[in-house]
Amino acid sequence: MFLIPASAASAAPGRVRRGRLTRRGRFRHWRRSRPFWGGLLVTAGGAAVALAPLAPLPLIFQQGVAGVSGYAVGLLMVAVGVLSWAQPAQRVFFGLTAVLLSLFSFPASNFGGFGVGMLLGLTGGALLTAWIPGGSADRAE
Amino acid sequence: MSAPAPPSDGVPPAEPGRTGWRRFAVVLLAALAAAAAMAFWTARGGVAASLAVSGHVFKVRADRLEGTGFAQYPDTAVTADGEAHPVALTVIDSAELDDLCQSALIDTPVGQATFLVRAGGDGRPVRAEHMVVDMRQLTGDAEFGDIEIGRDASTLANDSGRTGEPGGFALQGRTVEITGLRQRAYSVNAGTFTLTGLELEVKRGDHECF
Repeated sequence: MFLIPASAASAAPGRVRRGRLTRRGRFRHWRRSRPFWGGLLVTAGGAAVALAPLAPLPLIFQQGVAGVSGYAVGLLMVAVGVLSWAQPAQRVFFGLTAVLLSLFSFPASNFGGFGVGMLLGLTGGALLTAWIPGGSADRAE
Repeated sequence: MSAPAPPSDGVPPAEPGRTGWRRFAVVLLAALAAAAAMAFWTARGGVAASLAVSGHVFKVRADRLEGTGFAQYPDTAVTADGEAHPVALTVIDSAELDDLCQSALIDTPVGQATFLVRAGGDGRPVRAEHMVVDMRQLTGDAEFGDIEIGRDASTLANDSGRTGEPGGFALQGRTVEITGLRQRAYSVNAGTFTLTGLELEVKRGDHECF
């Protein structure tokens, strides 16, 4: 997007005549109108946390809360990442929730998916919190 | 020239959202500071971590294990590939381990890597509660207190509530002490694992504990 001069933006690939958008243009519009990368990183981090404990499920359920919480934290992170796309307006809440869940994943599940899931979640959560929608009053910040 | 395109056909203006990098930095730095504090307190023994690793056989080495509430019986573990393996299912209600080393070889897209955890050095042992191990092999010098060998596996009593089939062979001890512990296992689950002096490393190549 940095390669295209601002004056050429309306003629950028993806836009066709009569204001309709191609498939790629629609995806780009969708991507730009919500905190896409933040949500993606949080979702990936949640997947890493949930997939790290490969122990058989019955054994994990046997552990009770401690065993299940690893999966719960990971799946909640995935849910927060996906919901941040569906409801960009709640980005600060989702972002801070993602940060707290990522921190909690460290003691709850294999050091937060061997650290990878926690770091993805923290970065994604910070991105969610810091996202500013296009055309909003915050733009002048 | 640079005026935004007027909305048309019900499509809102494709003005991209952006990231406030200053706010991003503030949130991320605060979060990383909290993560560092947590890692530090975990290493100091202040935060108990939960560990549930499996899928491959991995190795555990400890200079000494001292535990209460020990039970063991034959069982099968189903690994990630769906295969069932015979194991000695081992339950220890509460254990302390000196100089713990735990390693697993992982296949990564860039070749073999060793996931290595070391903890419990300097006379500050690792503590584990409600530990359940799918064990394949164990070596070491063991001493049991109040041991019952040949107890029916369905009558075992332990905090984790693990029992085997009626008529199955099992052993149960009130206390256990193993020195020079070397163990291969399919999985170790602990309700809480307090890792003092934690060192966590992912290294390229084979750097297993033994």
